[in-house]
Amino acid sequence: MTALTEQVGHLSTLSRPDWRLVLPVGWLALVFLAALTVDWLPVPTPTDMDFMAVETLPSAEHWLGTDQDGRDIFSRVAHGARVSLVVGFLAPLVGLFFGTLLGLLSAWYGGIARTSILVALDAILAFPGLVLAMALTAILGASVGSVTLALGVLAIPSFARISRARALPLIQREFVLAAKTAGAGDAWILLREVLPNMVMTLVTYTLTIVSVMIVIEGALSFLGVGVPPPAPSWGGMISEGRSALERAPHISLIPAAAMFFTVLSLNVLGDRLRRRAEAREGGLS
Amino acid sequence: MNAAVPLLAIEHLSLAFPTPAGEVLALDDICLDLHRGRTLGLVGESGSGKSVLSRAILRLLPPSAQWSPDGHVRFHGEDLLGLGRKGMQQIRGRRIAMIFQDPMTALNPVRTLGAQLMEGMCLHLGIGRREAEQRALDLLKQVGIPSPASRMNQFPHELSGGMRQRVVIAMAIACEPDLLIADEPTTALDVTVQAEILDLLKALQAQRRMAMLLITHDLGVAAGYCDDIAVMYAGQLVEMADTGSLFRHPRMPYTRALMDSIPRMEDEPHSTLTSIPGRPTVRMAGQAGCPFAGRCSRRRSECLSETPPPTRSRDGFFRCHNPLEAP
Amino acid sequence: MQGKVASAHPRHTAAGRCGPAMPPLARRFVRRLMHLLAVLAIVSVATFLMLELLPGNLADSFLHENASEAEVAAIERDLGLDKPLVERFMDWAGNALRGDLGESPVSGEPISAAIAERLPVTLQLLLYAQLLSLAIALPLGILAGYREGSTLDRVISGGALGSLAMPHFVWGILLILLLSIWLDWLPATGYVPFLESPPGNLMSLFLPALTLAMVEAPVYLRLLRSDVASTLREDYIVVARAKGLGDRQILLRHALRPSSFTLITLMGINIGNLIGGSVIVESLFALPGVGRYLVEGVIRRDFFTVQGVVLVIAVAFVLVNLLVDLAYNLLDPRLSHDSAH
Repeated sequence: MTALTEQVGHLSTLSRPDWRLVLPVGWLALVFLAALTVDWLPVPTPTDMDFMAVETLPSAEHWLGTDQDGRDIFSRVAHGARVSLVVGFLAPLVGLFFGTLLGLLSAWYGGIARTSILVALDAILAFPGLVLAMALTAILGASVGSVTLALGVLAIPSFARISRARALPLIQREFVLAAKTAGAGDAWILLREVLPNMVMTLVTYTLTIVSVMIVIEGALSFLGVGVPPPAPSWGGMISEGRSALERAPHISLIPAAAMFFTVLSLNVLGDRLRRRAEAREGGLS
Repeated sequence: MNAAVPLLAIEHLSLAFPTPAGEVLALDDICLDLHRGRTLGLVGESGSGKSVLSRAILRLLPPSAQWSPDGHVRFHGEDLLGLGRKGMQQIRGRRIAMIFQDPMTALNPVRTLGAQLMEGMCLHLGIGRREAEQRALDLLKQVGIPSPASRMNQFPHELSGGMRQRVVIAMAIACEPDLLIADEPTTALDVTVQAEILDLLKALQAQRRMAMLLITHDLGVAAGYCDDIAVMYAGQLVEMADTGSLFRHPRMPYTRALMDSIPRMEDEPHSTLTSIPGRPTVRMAGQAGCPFAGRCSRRRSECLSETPPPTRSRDGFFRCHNPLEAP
Repeated sequence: MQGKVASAHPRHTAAGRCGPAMPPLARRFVRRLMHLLAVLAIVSVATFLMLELLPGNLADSFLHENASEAEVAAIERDLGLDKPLVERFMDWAGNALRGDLGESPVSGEPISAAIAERLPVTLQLLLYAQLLSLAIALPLGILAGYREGSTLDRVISGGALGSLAMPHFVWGILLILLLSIWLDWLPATGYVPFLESPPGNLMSLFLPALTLAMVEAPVYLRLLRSDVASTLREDYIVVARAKGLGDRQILLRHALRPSSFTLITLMGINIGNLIGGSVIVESLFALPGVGRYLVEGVIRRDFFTVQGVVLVIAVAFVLVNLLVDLAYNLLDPRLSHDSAH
């Protein structure tokens, strides 16, 4: 029975256009575009208060309506997207850099170096993500930079684990031994021989973690301990809309929808990428 | 043989699986009878449909399987294909039991052997826990497992492969079935254990007067343990006869080729074995011609265009346009 | 303690199940414990140093801008800032071990007592949320795995993917809007203590727990689905079917059992996420729990409170993970014996 399915299995790969790829990419492109161009669009600034139009529904003048202070929701969502995207894409880079470094070192060296790296990573993991992010931003002071840094620290252990797991089988392989016999130094081997072989995995994971970072940034802003007002952020807008939830739910729901579609798009794309990377690098190890 | 109603009678059973490439004919017009107390060997290369046939009898195939309407699987004269879900569950394990190829995967790794042995009995025989436990101990003793009492609370990974297969056999005979289907019961085991397990099966069968369907790709095993042998190729039964005449006078070239690929004691040391050229094929629904034609040295033009019908032989049948000579 | 039996018999002579003097489970446990102690040490040092990292002097945050030097010195003495760092850490850690986390300079309240008072609310919320998550994930996950590839599976899996993309605060807002504003079934705020009215308490915690569960359940559901689906492809499932077992018995006895071990691990891993979620949910639904206390501490810049809460949460989280790990090792028969790899 299995032999039968195997024999005909390879015939099943038929190509067809895939809207599960098109829609997320389209949405993310839209968000990026809005974040980049909002300053040139004919919309009010995110802090302009239009007291003639408070808690209004979408109209020609205010594309997505206004909040309790008469501020333009479209403009605020687009500016909030900047915070989400900057933090969401920069924080993983911090984690990528330090995490990969620690992961490689812990895979290459044994003994006390490996033990202390692993214990230190577990110590970071001992703090629930959001709690650690709150504590770090409380200390560093609330700003886009410190939120990015705090979330980057948060991402270090998972990057370290992934790069360690990926590097361990790689450093057993012949080309590493060959480099070693040729007299290459540790740094050379790790950076030139091992690292290039894990690039796909790391890039994929960096992209999958973006949505996690956007959610945590949103949570910090929602709690009022993230990027400080009046700078708009999605989490902050959702929180501010709470007091008008009964009268004008769109004030909360619009930024919530923006966040939902962004996270969903990233998750769907991440799933795709991960599967592809696994298929590609699976044959290598 | 005898005129009595056979225990198991398969009539014109055909079965296809839809695949992106079209419908693959997994079973093509299978007809066979099996009487109480007899052992029928089902022989063929992997992918020939042996396992599909064994699972089809118990209706253990995925729902995507497409059954042809004129096929029947009669057991004690009753058509199993017409039974409802509940009716089928009362047949499985109770009247027809099955032993699977790999004892490493046939036992649930996280449940105790005792629990897996007893659940079938509690279900079918309507007996309580204590009685089931007693019977399970007897069964383990019968299949030759030392210190059975301590095994009851053990998990599969604590036993060797041969021991596990004994447990699987004990599980199969627990409710005293009339028919035992053994699907390559020794393929996954060490060669030294294989004979032990087959001897055990043979003994149990004789003792309980069960009918047995022994599926194997090893013609030698079939020769040693079966009364009759059916040869399967690409979903068809291509030849069936009693063991003696099949080995003495194979009629279908495929059977001959299979026999030639077994090493013999009489062969010169280091003499080369004859292997069958080409690879086994799958048949698509509606495809005509003999499935073996592509690999056959006795091929004639009609072999490619017409499916050979079953031809009666002295004590069985074969499907071939250009059969080997009868004695 | 020196086991003479153990040293006399090398590992391989101990046949089968009778392992060496220290069974592998115990050995694993000891190694795990050492690791745990090291982690806890780092966690406490890091939590202590948290305040040292504050830009500027800690004392500054309690004083107005033009305080005299005498005032600064007095505050520093009060807070113990005049002592050397190591001495201060030993004092702080010693007190923490005795259950004394100091007083909040902002409210004057003892921090340990404040946490102890709020802990039951948070624990109850977490437990409630886990139960609700399982109540959602178990039936749906099993169903989707059982009917893998069907329309039902696609609906359930799609819903899980969507639910997963909604953070706690979005789910919370949606549930408030739907269940308490539009349908008017449940109150959005107003915590009722358990001792006052058990049913009222469960009602008042329902929305917060459901909010947590809506993010938690999809994670479990997805795992269960793929686990059940792959288990159902195992040979022993065909064997069980060949024995005449019905679908229900097969799912419950054969398929769910192996999945439950992975589920336990995942539940352990996810406690961190759940704690983070409870911080949000407690703030959103105005529950007097530890998470809200933490948020208040951060907003009031009450760093001693933040430090205390963070320490308690981290230690509890580490211990829970240890327990989960142990439970997993004890429950799964494949791990609790010396498996020869």
